[in-house]
Amino acid sequence: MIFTELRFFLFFAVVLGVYWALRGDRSRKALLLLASYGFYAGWKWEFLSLIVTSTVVDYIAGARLHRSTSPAARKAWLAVSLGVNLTILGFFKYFGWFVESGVAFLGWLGIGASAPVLEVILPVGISFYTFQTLSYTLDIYKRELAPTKSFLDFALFVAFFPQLVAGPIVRAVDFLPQLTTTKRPNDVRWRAFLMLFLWGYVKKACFSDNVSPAVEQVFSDPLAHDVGGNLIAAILFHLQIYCDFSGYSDMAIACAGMLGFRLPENFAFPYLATNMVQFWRRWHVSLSTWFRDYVYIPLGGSRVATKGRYVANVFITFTLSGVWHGAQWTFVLWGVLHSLGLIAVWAWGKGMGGTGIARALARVAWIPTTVFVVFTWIVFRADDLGSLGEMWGVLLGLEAAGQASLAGNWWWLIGTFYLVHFAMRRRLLERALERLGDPAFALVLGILFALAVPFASAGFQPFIYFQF
Amino acid sequence: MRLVLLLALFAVGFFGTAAVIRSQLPEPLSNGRRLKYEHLEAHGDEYSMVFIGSSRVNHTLIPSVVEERLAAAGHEHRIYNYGIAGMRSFEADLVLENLLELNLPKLEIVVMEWPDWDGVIFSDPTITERTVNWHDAGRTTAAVKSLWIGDYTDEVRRTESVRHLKTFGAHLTNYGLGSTWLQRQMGFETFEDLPSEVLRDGFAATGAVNDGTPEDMARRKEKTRAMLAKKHVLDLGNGIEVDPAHYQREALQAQAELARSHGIRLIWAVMPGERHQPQAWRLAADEPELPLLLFNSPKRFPEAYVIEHRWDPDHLNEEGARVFSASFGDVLAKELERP
Repeated sequence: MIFTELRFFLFFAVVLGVYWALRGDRSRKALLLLASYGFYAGWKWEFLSLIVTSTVVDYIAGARLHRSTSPAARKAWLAVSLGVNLTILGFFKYFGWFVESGVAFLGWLGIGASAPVLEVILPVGISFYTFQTLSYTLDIYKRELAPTKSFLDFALFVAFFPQLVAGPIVRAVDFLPQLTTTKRPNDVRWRAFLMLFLWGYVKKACFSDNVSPAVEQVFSDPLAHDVGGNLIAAILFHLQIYCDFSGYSDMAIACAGMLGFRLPENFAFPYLATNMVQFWRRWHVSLSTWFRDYVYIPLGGSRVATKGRYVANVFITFTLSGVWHGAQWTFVLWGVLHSLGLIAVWAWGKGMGGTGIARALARVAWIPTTVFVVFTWIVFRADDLGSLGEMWGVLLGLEAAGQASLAGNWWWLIGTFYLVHFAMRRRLLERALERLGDPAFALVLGILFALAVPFASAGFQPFIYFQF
Repeated sequence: MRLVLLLALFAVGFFGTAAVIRSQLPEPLSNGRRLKYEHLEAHGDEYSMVFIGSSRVNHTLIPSVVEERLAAAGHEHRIYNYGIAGMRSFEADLVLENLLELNLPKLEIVVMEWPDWDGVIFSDPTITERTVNWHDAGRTTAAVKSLWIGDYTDEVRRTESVRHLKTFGAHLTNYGLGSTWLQRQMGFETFEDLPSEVLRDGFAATGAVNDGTPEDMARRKEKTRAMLAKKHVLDLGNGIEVDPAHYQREALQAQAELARSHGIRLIWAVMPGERHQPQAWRLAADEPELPLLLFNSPKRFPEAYVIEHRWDPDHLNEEGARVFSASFGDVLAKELERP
């Protein structure tokens, strides 16, 4: 079930109606858990067992971690949690990749090898809920969180359907306390969440899905297309992935909000960033802060003795972030390149920070930042390293370009995106709607939805981040 | 109460805006439907007779040949072939309605391909601009009804009914139509333009459309031979039992009423294909006053059932169209002489 589908609208309307009709907190939470499991079972019911396994293991591990005073026992329980979760994640997400890479490496060494082909289906959202449950045991291990006594609360934290399959990644420390307070419909900022849901819908269904055929066409055969076509496709993917993922996040936050829950912001206009540090403070914030808190800082972060160690910490963190995105060398390379981008910003700041040149260049820093992000999104989207080389080659003039092209009209759409993006940053529409009374707002919202729905692509695509 | 009011206002805003947008939408573009409509909008004052139907009409009836035969019988008409490939009964019904609303000054007669009101229309589950276009409340109801009164399995009834309801939803909300427009602006979803000689009288010969690969042609020929080998079953009276309850007589009545209200004479015709259309034969037998011409009869129209004249089991080739159009003109001339 995709958020932009009619059946999700119906599903959510029923859940929302029943949820607010129920009186007791416990029955509401039970309803949400049931709905969440039903929502996930809609993909593939067999994989519910994975979520339940993670839930049971981490609930027990969390309780034992908290109770144990012996460091060895605590480490053992943490190892159980990490071991079970990462084994499941590793098997479903990385097993095939490791085997294929191993065989390829042996082949490169001249050792002929073959491996049994094992078709492993990737359970939707496994990377998201695994990181979510890990944050629970890791925080308890660090004594930053007390475990919940309620299994229902914990199960709902793991499986809460608005953010189950593609985030935002919610920390237990933020979510569990919300389950102990009574929700009231009057406390919900209905107008804000309905508008957020509409924006998410527009981004995903009306923009991302509509540019998908053009992106697919060029990325599947870059050499057949001219430089303009490759450039348009690269920029379109840059916009598509933002609209797709932030659109999903908006809808997830809005759905949770209408149920009285607060999810963390995941995007803060990342394409207006003027350097890579800013970019990562604005892009997929719930993931980058997860890596910051559970990988980068435990490695020492920036408070380390040597520059080399700092560089290594950034490199490791972002390479792992790349691997988190998928079992492909392109994702690893994407993570590596982003770490280099961050290191370059840090080095520039160390060497040139505060100088007149730095201040002057800061005014136009958006351009190189955007070019870097666009070029690295090509790595992210490319089917493999070979097609990545082809696309980069065409764009840099190193490969002979083909004849096929994309219509020049795409440039209008790209320009429109940036205009709307800037307008959204200034919250022009929201400000205008704030002046309306509730009846007028309801009418206008209906009109806005009626204007958006025709542009929903009938051949909708699953959210890009579902695969991670 | 307040919540109900707000939901009602939302619905008014949503469906009201959708209705306004829908009223402004042009005819669907595919298979030349919009181009033919626009041609009639601009030059419709030339025509006194229009043929409406699927590819069986579009590739079969040559207006100039029919005009000649009618003229020979004393009926002067200028004819437009408004046949659109893939057009089913419900869409054709809407096309008729839209045509009548043009109020063409000289239009006297519309010949419609016999509507079978077959509710199974989704050989491809994709919702297209054309299917969304005709799925208004009335036609969706008729389509779903036809599934439940016809000889279909429960599985077909259920799946097709759901598809009809989804498409009705798309019709109400204009779902996907802006996206289709956008894809066209970007060079995706290209459509075949109709050459001016086709637009002039609307007729397009089968071969001119697409002959396909030699393998396609051979396969078509083989299927045609198979159809011709059992052509004797096409004429009713060969043992096919028909339950008149399986036919939507009232939909036919409504179509006739609509034409009559615009002062137009409506004639139905079963084209010479491989379909039995037994309900048409039964109705023609039961109600001889019905303006219904049956051409799917190898006995009466042998020229339409020889391999040299066929493109495939359902369509004639250009030569076949020429020969058959003459026969069609003669039969039509006789029909016009009826009061």
